[in-house]
Amino acid sequence: MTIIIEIYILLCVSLLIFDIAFLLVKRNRNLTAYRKNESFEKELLKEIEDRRKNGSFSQKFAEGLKSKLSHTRNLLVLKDIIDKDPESEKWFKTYIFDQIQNYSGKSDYEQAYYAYVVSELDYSSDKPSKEFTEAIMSLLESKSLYTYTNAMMTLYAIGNTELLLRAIDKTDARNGFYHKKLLVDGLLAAQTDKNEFNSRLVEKFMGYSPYMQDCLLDYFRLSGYDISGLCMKLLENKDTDTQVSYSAMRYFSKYPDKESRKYFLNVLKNDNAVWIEKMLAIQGLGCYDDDEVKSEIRKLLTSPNWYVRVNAVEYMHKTGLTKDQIFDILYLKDKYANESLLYQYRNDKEMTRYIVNTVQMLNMQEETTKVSDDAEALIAGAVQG
Amino acid sequence: MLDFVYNLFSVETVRAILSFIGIFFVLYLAGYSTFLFASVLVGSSQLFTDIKKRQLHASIHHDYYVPISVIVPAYNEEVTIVQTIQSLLNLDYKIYEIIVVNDGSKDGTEEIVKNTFALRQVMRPIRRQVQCKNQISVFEGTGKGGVPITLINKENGGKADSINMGINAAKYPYFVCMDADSVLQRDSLTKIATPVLENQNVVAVGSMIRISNDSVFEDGRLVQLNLPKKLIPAFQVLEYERSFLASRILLDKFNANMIISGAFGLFKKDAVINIGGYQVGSMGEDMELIVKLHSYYRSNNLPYAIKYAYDAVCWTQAPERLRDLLKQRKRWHIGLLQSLGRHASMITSLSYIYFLIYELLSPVIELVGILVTILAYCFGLLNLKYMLILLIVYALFGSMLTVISFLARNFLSDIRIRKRDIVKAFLLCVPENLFLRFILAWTRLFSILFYRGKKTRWGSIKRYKIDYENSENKEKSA
Repeated sequence: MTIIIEIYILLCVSLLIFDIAFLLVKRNRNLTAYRKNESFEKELLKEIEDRRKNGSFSQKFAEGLKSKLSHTRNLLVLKDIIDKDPESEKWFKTYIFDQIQNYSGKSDYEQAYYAYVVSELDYSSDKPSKEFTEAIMSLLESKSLYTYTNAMMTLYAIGNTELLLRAIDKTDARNGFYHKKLLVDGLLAAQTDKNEFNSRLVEKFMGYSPYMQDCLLDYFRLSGYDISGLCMKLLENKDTDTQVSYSAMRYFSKYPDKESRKYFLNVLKNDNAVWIEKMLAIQGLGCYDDDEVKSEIRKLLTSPNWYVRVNAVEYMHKTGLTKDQIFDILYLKDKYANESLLYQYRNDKEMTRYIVNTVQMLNMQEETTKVSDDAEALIAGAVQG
Repeated sequence: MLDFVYNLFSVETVRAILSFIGIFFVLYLAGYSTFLFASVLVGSSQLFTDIKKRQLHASIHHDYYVPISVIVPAYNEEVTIVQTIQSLLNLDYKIYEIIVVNDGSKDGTEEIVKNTFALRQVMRPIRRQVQCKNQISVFEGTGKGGVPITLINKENGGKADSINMGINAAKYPYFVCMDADSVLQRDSLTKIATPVLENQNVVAVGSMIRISNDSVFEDGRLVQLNLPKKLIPAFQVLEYERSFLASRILLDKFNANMIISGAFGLFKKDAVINIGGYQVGSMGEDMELIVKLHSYYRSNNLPYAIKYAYDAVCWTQAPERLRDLLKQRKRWHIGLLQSLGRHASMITSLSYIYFLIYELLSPVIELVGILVTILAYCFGLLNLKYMLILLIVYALFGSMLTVISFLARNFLSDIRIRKRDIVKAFLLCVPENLFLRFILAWTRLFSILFYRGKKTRWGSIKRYKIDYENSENKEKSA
């Protein structure tokens, strides 16, 4: 019993002491770090000023900078100064590159920060060393998405085609999440020879996973690179992943051609096509307004799928929908079609009123016809009786 | 009565039992105390690291997100569902969708959601990747900021079944499941996604659950934390602060967290699909899922991590009636029993042993302690003075931990806390430790003793409408 009480008392006291010590140490460390940062910032500002006047840093500063930048807090200070004075970047770039091995061995979030700092540097004049780029490539092995994304951003900024292709291979093989938008935006912004890069990507395309194929099709669509042959090949191949074929269909929505028109019309005529395919086919045929296309899309106004019928109504509206044509649609007395028309003209008060009134009129007509039919049936019954 | 006890035991037998049990309790308490002490140490060091992380993160001028599907299973939630969805639309997060799964509610849950958010019916097939009951209809629309909202009406099948339906319908690679009566703090999705961004092996992330009763919110953000006026929820505030802040950070360090509250947790969709989704028919489906994830990844030697994001906060309503609280705890404890029973093969892991001894069996051990005390008293072997000192030290130690957790949590998160609530916390921490803990221990004990493998159904705790927009909680009849 005594032992239990003693253990408890010991723990109570230890906890109290620890909590007080924790607060004191935290306060002290914050103060020390703040003072150190302040003195390094002053030193940097002074050296930048001297450099502008004399053309070089002082020897003592230059020798000590390597060791100082090995501390993340000093890198933070330097990054802050470079942000405020972008001209000074060129004087510190080499010192920052030299830290790559040091930061590669640090914690995930320090690696991520370093990768972020180097991704913001300007690579148009100085190309980094192979040692540096290889170390950045090795950061792509990180489990941290922060590190990974920032390392990818560095590679986009460097803009070396070979490195980018290797990075895409690594991304493809990576068993982790990397959002399509990040990759596509990065590739679009990459400072590389786009013609060479794109043709190499097309060559390697079929070897990539569906995820990467989907990303690359989006990239090609947004960059305007002609891949209509590749897209048609993908659409005709029954083994193509569904998401990839949807991306190929989206490509033709932006860059339509005769082949795609034929393909989209077949999709509309195919009763087994799923709603996404039909929706994409309507979008892909958006630039055609001939009778064949119009007639096929008109049939989809009564589709039970909301997205299909809304796109169909939108197409009809864009290709010119008169009040008479709207009446014809309303005369179908299809709840789905009526709903889509109301949605299309939700901001047009006059048209909305017309649709609502017409629907009411048609309903009343129907009721009157039904009543008269019933009355006729009743009279006929009475006569027979 | 006493004669019966004297006939049953001799003084020597009682002495032998006492010395054996004494040794056991010394080891038991020493183990628990060490655990608590280590929790505080690790928690503090984690706070230091996080301060540094936050500083670096703030210096990066762009943010990253993983797309998240927020799944809200609902059964007869017409009172709270609209506000829950509205609070979700106010989240500071870029890519997410909201999926409300209406589990055959008998009230106006479906109509109120459809009408408030102008949802339209779509003929959308839902690919069944995990088993669940049939869908009846699907409605879609967009909320404030273009956030997609999906309402799925399905046949009644329970909470686990509803989440499974939500997983099937989710577009994004990660999903969050939450209760229909809970409210997420505006930055909570950002915070709960951080461990996933830091480590791609993370398959699940738990959050900090806090009690919203009587606190003041503005635009979905807490501005004034009030200790509830009623005693039962006030006790629970203290209890939640202690249990969520201390132990889970330590367990997190060893990838040993076995509980992610059903009120708010983030999961990697593929991982959950790989283990067959939520277990329908389990009393504690949230715990069952985590234990299953541990078991699956360990048995297949796959890298994984289950994390705890202590700064991802979810506000939830605590039961205000003792009857409801006991019902809730009984359900939790049976869930724990079922999960540990189903995954007994994990008995060699430290986390399993911890949950077995210090969570599942703790009420039994406490009961044994009481019986032995009575026995010792009957035989005149009880030193009353020592017992009282022990009781006082125990109560003070537990109370101190509670108060430290409560104050540390609130001071570190820049939340205004009233002086009278600090005083109230000091006053309530002792009875919370002595009485509530005791009552709950008994409830848990009886839940195990009288467990007959009952089927699960939705809990029927009384609901209150809470104004998370701009005023104090207003009670409305549920």
